[in-house]
Amino acid sequence: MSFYDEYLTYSEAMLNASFEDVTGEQVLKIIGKERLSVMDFLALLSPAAEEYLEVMAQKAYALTVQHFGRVILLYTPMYLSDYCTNQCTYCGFNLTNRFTRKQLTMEEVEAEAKNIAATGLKHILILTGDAPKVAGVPYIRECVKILKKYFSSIAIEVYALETTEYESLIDAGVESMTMYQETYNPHIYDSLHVKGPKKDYRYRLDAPERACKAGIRAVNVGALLGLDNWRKDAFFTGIHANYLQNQYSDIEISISLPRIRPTMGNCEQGIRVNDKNMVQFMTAFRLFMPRAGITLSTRETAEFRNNAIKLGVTKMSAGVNTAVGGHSDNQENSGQFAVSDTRNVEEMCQAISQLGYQPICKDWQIL
Amino acid sequence: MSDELIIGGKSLKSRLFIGTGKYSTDAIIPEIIRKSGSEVITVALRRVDFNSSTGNVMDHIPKSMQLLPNTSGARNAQEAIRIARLAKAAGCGNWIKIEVISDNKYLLPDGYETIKATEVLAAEGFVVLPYISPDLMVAKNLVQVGAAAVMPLGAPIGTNRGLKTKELLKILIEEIPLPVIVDAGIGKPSDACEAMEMGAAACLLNTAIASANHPDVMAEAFGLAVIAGRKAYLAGLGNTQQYAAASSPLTGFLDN
Amino acid sequence: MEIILNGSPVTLESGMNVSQFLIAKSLHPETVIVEYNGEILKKNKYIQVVLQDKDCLEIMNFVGGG
Repeated sequence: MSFYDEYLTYSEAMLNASFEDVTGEQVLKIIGKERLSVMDFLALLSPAAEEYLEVMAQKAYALTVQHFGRVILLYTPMYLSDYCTNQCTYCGFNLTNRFTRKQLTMEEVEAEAKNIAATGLKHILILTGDAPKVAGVPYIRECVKILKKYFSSIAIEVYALETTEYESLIDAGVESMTMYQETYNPHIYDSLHVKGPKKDYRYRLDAPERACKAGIRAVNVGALLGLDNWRKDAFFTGIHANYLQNQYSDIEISISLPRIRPTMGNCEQGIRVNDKNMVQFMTAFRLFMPRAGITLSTRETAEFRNNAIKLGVTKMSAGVNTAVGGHSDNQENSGQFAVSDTRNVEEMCQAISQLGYQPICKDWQIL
Repeated sequence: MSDELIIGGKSLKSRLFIGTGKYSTDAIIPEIIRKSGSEVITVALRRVDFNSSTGNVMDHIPKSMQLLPNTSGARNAQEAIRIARLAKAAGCGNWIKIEVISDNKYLLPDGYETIKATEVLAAEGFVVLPYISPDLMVAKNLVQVGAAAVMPLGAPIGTNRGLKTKELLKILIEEIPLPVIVDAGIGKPSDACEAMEMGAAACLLNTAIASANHPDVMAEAFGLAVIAGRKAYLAGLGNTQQYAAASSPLTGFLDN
Repeated sequence: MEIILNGSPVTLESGMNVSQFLIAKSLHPETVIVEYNGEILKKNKYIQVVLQDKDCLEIMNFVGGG
């Protein structure tokens, strides 16, 4: 059993038909329902639902306040290594991009950790490229051991691992994983991933489930919006999250909505996803899975992120630098993507408070 | 279009299960069965009373009825298993309602012992219908160990208080891939109708009929209520909630 | 001889089988369930099993219940 089996039940034709056939009346009826089915979620992502964005937003706001309170959890990413064996057309770490690769030594990890911890953040997301020979599980484990001294929650966003590898990292102290499928469309996926282990669509698709089997506490999925028709990737992101929640009822599920941004060497990629589309996705998902988290990264502008707070977002990054060692030195190593919202932790806290929400730096701690 | 309820390989047209307890006389049971349209009837197992001259309840139950003996009296899994095996030995079928109650104040069932008994009896080939509080994790366990259905209570036995556990019943109906039969607490035909509208597979009730002034008329009312509720569920109820756009829009910024 | 019937001692003539015992108690073998010394007795054995001294019999039937 794999999410892929469920994925296969939704043909391109079926999705397109649904997007075309949904009526405004049906949309309103769906918004009023207590529990939304998968097809209801699909309907809320259709063009017909765009007219009812405010209504969806009102309900999304109410549901988020009910289930999460007026609270935003803050975290930051720490890039440990940008060595990579993949050639992905949309990414700054693409192996064909020429720049001096960097990998943090344990001393540097400690220095980064100190700097980040000084801002008050307690939740950290660590990232690597896909280079197991240099930045593999043993390396990540070592980093985690250091980071445990400074942070109460460690999440990973690394290349797809085996179940036993997830077990090993969980044992070291990792409790959450993020995995973006980039796009759920196998054909587009194949063309974007020219070379390297990431080319294996199925292996990546099943990674979150392997992590669940390994006993991870939280999983975050998402697609890089704009690589395919955003409505489809939004739909598959939502039902992927739904599938994982149903199969592994004890894990905490959340989604991210990364929207494609200019990267080194690739500015014009993809189909444009506008702000309205983002809001539609966010609110539709909130209605579909009222208790799932929604993360919005600094790919988005400060203004958009501020507005998104009342639309269902529960977790946001702050003080972000997507370059390896970016929290320590001011060296201009290329980041993975261009950061739009450059606010630091203090500025984020202020903005969140001004909107009537409470910024949280620590949500829990594994004992 | 066929909407039969299939349990343990048996196809049922009626989604109303009835009991045989608390009647002034067992002799009215055939009329209750006829008026309600029910095809499944519960009985209990007790030591023969040699001093009593009353007939046997079985004399009043048509052979065509699906018998559902219960394990009432059992305080733990072992006792329930023993009663189930005895009931099977009577030769009236292999259905069993597991009722494990060690709480004499409220008559609330013991979920843990119920799961244990279900596991053993399902493995022996019984068609097990366990009676439980509407606890999702207990129900999930029962699915795992081979129950044929789950029977969550609407309110404590005999209280006639209706669907006090409605929210939890809805969750079970949503999440459990077995027939969810609301058993206990149903007081009015409208309660049974509501349970069916919510998507319950069937209702089991005893007190509500037996305690009525005219049980046979009440039996008919419940029969109709269950049919009405089921049809409403199949027809798809209309929208009940309204979400109007407020004056201070959350999405106004998109127009800038 | 004496046997324990439904938890209480009763005296009876020796040589009776279960079926005869049930009939003597005005019970129809078809409608009851018999536990003989802790084991459920199959109906076709009622005629075969002859009651002995100190045997334990539990005789049950269905009654009204919810």
